[in-house]
Amino acid sequence: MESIENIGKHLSFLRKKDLERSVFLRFVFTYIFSTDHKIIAKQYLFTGIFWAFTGALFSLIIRLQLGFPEANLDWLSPVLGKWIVYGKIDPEFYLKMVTVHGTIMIFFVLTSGFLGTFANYLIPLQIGAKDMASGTINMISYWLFFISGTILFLSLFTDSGAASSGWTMYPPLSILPSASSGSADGTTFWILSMVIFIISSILTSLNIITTVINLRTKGMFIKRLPLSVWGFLFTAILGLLTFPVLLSALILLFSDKVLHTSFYLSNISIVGEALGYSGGNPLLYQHLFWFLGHPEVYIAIFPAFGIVSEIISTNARKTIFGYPAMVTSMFAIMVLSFLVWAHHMFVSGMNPFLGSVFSLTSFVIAVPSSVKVFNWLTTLWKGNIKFTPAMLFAMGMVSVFITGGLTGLFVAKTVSDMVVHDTYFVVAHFHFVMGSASVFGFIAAGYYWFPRMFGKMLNMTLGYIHFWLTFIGVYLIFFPMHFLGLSGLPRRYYMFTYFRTFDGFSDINAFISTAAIITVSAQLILLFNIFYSLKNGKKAPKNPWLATTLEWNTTEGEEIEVHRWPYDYSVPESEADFIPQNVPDYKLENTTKNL
Amino acid sequence: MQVLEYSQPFFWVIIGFSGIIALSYCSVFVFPSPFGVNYSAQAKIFHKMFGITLILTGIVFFITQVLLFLFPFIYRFSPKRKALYFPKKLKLELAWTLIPFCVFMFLLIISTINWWKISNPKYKDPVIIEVSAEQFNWSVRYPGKDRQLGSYSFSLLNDKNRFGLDWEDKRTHDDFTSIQLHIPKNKPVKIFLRSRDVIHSFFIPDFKIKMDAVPGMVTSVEFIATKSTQEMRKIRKDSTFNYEVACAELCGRLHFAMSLILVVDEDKDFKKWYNSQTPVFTVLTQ
Repeated sequence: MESIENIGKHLSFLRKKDLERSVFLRFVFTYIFSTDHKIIAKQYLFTGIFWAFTGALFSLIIRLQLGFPEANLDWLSPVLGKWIVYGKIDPEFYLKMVTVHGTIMIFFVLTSGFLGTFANYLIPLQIGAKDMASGTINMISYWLFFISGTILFLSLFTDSGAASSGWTMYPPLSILPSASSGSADGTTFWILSMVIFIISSILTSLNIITTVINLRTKGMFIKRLPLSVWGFLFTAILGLLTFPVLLSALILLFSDKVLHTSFYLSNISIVGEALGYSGGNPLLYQHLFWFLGHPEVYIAIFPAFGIVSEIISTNARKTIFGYPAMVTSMFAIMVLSFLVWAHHMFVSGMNPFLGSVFSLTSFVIAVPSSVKVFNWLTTLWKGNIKFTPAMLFAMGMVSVFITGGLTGLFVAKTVSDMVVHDTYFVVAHFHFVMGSASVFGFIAAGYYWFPRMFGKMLNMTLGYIHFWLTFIGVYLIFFPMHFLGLSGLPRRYYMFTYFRTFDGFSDINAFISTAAIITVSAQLILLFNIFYSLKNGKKAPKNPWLATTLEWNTTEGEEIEVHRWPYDYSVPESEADFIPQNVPDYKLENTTKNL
Repeated sequence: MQVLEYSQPFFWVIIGFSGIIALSYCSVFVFPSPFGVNYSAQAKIFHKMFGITLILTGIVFFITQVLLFLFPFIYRFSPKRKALYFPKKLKLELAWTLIPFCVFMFLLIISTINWWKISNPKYKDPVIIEVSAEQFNWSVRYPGKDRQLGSYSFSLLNDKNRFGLDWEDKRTHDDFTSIQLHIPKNKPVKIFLRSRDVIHSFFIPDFKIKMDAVPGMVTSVEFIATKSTQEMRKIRKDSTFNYEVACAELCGRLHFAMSLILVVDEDKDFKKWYNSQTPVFTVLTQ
């Protein structure tokens, strides 16, 4: 890594003199093409927030259609233009929204937005490194992420619109323009966007792994890493090993689409025309896709696991229960997540025997997940718990994770998955366990580290209001969906009036849509809070949450030596409420005063 | 604003805890029961499995959620108290690794045994039907009097020959098609699925049956319907009730409208209907 930096410096067309003279250049290289991990983290944060709101807005268009299929939506036509036909959303546009919402939320928000922000910001600070292993690669990685997002966004404005075959992009639907309008240019844009995204993600992963392995400060043994760093490390390893498989799947998909090879397609006759594909198999794509697709949900949730452990321990003023078990269970989930992918394919035409094998691994992976939940609960037991907004979101994450995790047992079972597969039950399941849980972790991290990132405190009152609206809202939106799913309502349906079996749930759908509109609007409170506090917020003290980790207890540039693990709260031998990691002696006075 | 800060633990218990419990309880009354009447042999298995899982997960759901809301409430911050230093306890951790493991394995074993009953039931002499999916239609083909489906080729597909039947093969000559899917009551049915264009999924919500139709592949699903359409009309008090087949895998613009009417006849009615149909070959050659 070092040599790349040197080459970069050597080849630079900018001389130091130029940089010093020009305010503009200085601005560009400090804030735009910065190689500083803290600036890059903030770039990721604001890009992530932008994508989160865009994705949420798209989900509102979906909910508007599902909740109020009879409503006249002509008022949307100034924005959506030709996609509003006679006051109704075009069904193709609905599917484009479904696709883009999924892609944005899973890849741009939960993968890069979350990991990019907090891994970049926290890893160097928490392990006592000066920066990430390679600042240049970090910068390149961010800008590739930015470009990939831009490409996907631009695809919405092409003539035939964005891709419309779901975020899973199953062929043949995603390949044949005559099957779906989004498969004309939309899929090509989507593949291009994803390929760039994957390169960005792999670079980030390499950077994280290198940093955690090589740049730990003196005394920061691997057993003394905060759980958040463990979470980032496992995410990075998982991403590094699975994203290339998606890349290969997408290259074959591109080849089928543009060069008319037959990796995935066979015997297709569409609109009265027999196409020349033969010998391929759509299941091949599904296997390759879900080899990333399932680990992807752990890529999204691991950082939240780590961060929530961190926040719960600090705010409960109690040491985390079962640190080795927490790390081991994350490791076990990581390894097992490579072996569960085909539980998305129980009724895909795959051999049913394989179904029972993947059902086995899916049940096994639920064991370490439940260990984590029990350990969090024990951490709360006999604690001394402070209800800060970050803590509320962290506990909220545990609650939605339990709810979503338990419904996971229904979908891991072959018999019940046959019924609930591709219905709203699954939608409810993954929005709880992956969507809401990771987003709660993300927001909790935001509330917790905002003072460190910007030097200002977020407004607590707004934080409380934001939490309660979000927490109640999430349950009101997703809990009723279980019942819709059990009644058979399939996902990705534009409306349910064509089937008598599914008609008759319109009031529940309207209820869910109303809850969704309110919950998404409640997120504006967070946005307002961020900008209001940046300007008018109270100045943050150095260690507002009285935490033990290095980022709160050291100043930059200082030589750091670590003497203990990060969870020394309420240690019986010490009078102190907490002992920072860099404090050598139990009985130092400055720590006792902190309470 | 101090008040708001100190009231959070109470919010946590009252709104969060009772809210979630109330929501899950109310939903049982407000929403349709997941334990419906069994309209097929497969639905019976599903409901049994679903019930066992629901009870087990329900217990865990209530215990963990209650603890999650009670611990923070009971142990809310007080400057007089010091939290317990409790970093590990091997026995506890072993307990909640092994107990869930055993419960999950129990669920896995009963689920897998029943999965075999559903995915590979080995029914004797089932009624054979072929369903072919295309955007956005289902077509149904019966084997006719010889009870053997004739061969087909995708290259023979055209407007008239919607199944691409190979007329060289004599077995195709008595095959007939139908606008609705007719099946007999209490008789095993085996449906072969194929697709002309993209992936579709053959889904009968009332029978709890689902299987993808994949282009280039033939998949199959077997089931036994246990309530005829006429009986259902009486049960539901709805003289126009019909079973419906839906598409469950995103297949394009009109995915939401891809339906097929399924009629479950008494066995003798089915036989009468079956024998009165005209084969495609006869229609085309006349």
